[in-house]
Amino acid sequence: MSLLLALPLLPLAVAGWLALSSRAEQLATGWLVALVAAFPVAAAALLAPDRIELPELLVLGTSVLVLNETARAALLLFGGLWLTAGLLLTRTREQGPGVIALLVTLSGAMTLALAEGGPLVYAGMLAVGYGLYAIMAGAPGDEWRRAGRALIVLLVVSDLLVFELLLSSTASPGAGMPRGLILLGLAALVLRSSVPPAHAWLPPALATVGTPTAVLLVAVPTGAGMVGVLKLLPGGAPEVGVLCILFGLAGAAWAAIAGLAQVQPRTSLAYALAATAALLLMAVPAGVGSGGQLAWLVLALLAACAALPLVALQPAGWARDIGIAAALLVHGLAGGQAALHAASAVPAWAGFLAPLAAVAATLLLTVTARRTMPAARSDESVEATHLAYTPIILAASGLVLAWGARPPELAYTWVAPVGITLGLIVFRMVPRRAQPHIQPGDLLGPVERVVGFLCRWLRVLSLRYLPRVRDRLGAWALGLWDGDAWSRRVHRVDLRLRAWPATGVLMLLVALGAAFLLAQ
Amino acid sequence: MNTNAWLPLAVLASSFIPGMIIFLLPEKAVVLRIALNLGGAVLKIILLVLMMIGVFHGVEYEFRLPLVPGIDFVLHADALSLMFVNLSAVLWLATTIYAIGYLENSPNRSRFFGYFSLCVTTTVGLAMAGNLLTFLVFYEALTLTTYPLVVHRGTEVARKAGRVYLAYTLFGGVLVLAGTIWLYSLTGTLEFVDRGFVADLGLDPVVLRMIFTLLILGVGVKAGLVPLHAWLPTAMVAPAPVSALLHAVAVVKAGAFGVVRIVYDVFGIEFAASLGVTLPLAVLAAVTIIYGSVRALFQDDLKRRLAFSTVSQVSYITLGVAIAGPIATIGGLVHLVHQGFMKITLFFCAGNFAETLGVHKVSEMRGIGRRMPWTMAAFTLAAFGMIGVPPMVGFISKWYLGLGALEVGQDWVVLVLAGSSLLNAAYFLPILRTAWFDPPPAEWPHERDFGRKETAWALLLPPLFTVGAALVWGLFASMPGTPLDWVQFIAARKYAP
Repeated sequence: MSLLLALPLLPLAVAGWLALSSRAEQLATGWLVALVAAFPVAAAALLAPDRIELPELLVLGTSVLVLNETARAALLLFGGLWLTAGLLLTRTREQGPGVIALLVTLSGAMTLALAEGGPLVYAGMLAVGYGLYAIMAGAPGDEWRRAGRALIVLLVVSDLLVFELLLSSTASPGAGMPRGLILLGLAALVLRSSVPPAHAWLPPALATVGTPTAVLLVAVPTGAGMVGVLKLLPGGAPEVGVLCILFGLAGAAWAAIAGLAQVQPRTSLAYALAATAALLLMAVPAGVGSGGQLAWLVLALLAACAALPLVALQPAGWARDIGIAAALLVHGLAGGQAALHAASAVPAWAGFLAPLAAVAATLLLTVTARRTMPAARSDESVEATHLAYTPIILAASGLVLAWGARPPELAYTWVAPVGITLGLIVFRMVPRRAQPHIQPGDLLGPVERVVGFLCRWLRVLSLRYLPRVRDRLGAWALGLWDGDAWSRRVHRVDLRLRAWPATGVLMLLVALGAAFLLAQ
Repeated sequence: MNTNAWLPLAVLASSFIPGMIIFLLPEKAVVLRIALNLGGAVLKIILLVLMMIGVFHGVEYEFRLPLVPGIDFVLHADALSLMFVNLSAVLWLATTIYAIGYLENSPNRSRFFGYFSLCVTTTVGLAMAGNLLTFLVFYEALTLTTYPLVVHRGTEVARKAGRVYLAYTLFGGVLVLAGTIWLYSLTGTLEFVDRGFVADLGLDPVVLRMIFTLLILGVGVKAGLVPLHAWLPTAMVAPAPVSALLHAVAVVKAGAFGVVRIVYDVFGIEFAASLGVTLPLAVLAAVTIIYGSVRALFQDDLKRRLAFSTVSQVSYITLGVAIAGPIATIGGLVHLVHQGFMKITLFFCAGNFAETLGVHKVSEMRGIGRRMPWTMAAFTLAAFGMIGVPPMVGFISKWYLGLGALEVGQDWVVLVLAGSSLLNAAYFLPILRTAWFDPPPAEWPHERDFGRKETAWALLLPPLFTVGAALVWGLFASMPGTPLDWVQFIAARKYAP
């Protein structure tokens, strides 16, 4: 049996064992998660390219698990982040998500990372999406619920779009994918990857969850969405390249404006991530690229973002400063490379716009880093310093491998210094406020009010008007069978017929007709 | 008469004879009653497996008894009927085990299990009916044998629900009777034939459309087609095993199966499509799917929410049949089995919540996942299946229905499926959220103590078994021996050139 099959099954097996174990409460579950998550990281680093067919799985007859560049990048991203979250859970102060939710979601992420072929990719995307909700639910208090509700709605709609995309592409396998279907897939990506305007759930969510959950929320939704779309549209979609550039740029601008108006580091980080997601959306039309270029860039950008929640755990000092600088630099350089990748699928004028989104994302990340206060020095905070390097190393690896697939161009490396410098300037210039100028999740409030109104309307329709219509129809139908009423109606008709002078003639005609028919 | 003729009769007898004996048993004869119930159920499954192997290898199983000149009482086992009979038999076994636990120490158990066995007998007879008259006989018998189960509790509400149930289903029976007589007067035969028996007779299309309407409305009552569905939520006052029986094993499925028989074996799918009756049927099914989901959305009573969900989900079968294409047929027929397993799981779980904690409403389910994790896990998986989340079987059904619709150019059906999935998510996910992620209350409405277990084994094992099957058949859908595999076998015969 190939080791690839063990990657999604191992977390499930451990989750099942934990569910059945009576000693689950006493087990050091953080170490367990870290141990399980180390497996995909090792597999991504050490295993040779592999491919196994799973005959008769799901509906298509054959599903495939593949270890290629995209899968390696996804394994490193998901495995590395789960490893970090698991190690964070070993810290006594961290209040983390349920370990079974973590493991089941990791299994879904592994499936998504390795799967090839529609339904299996779809299953992985679903498992990661709903699993993240369960992970969020481990947060203390009720604050996360509002964001969770929004996330679920976005996920459900996105899942339906993916389902439509899969159905249609399966129904017409030979033909190239029509533009409508491509747009469907990109819409699904926007909804599940926190690309503005579908980012509204993320700022309030990040503001309320613990650090392990925050590390996952920063990178996993966008990472899963990107990996899913890269598997569903591996060749990209150059025909919608300009549209994606414009949409992504608008999203990045939106995120930049709302992100700068924030006060809390976590909400600022959410907007930085939204801008990063918008940048990645711009690069999707160019496809994965040779050597899995875009997949490595996804790893680099998202892992760099995921390092930021850990910065808050570090005490002030050179180790923290180096970590922050490395994360920002990697993000800026990877952003520039992503812009270069995006520009390869669009006309020159549109390609010029892509680096602007990268600048916005790096700028926001810099502001976030500056807004993040260092932790008080203690044994645990010193230990956290080492932990923060895990995602930074992952990000740096992603960047190096992306450069290996396509060497950097000087014209696109300016994003890093410009983005970081602008971030530092803007941080100095933006006045300090006690309250954010724009509420975290900007759109969430108005959308909630509209949806609440629609739900109330639907409720009234369902509980009052539909039964009323049904009752009236029923009463009308019963009235048709009312014997007395029918008797009266027939009696009236009878009287009218008798009163009509022509009735006799008519009866005669009927009788003659009947006689004629009988004679025949 | 050879063995092949007696086997269908033996399948009927395996539940009929135990049922008649159980009627005569005193309430205290618990062990004998259980032995008869379980023995009959296991025997039925063994006989069915034998018949399935035979049918797969082309053996004909038919029992024929002349009723009146020109019309026989016919039991005929073909691939389609065996699929339904198997569904009923397997779920009957699960429901019997569940009912034993559920009705422990309650009165009138002999009466209950007697009618329970008779109900399954009539369902099996209906499935194996070889002509429209035999179908009608069992169709009406099913109404009469399930009525005592609906009113089993004997309360005023139960009796009222029973009256509504009788009024609707007998009305449906009258429509089927009228259609049957009319059809016989025109054709002189009622035998079910692959690809239909009215296709080549040169009958007036207008008359045939009217007969089709009569028959479909007649079986549509039991299938819960809007606006003939109102009995279904009302009948929710019945005990949980009866609800499970109504929704997953017998009554609703009998209606859906009737639609399948009428479209495929009375009219023939190509001829029905040429008459122009399949599109209105598909539209009616689509309306039912959306209507049922919308009504389910705001029901606080858990069983009532599930009942409206059934109204919606069963129409997937009708939709698949009405779309008229081999792939959609696979989607519709396989949903007959898939929906049965998922829905029975949900009703078992609802019964567990009610029996163990006294929880009947969605608003009372806060934190119930922590108190009853296994039951809630089964509920969660089944709910995911209803939404269409892979790898549960619900995904397989929706996948084939969607593909089938696209295959024949009926793209609007995909929108209906998407809308339905959205609504399914809207009425199931809040339950899962409150059950798993809300804190449990300090005290449950009527909590029963089962020691270290969350509930009795007899109540817990059936939902775990049924949801396990729904998961395995979803994950390994294309393996030999799964419902999907069997349905592909059926569709190949129905659409064979």
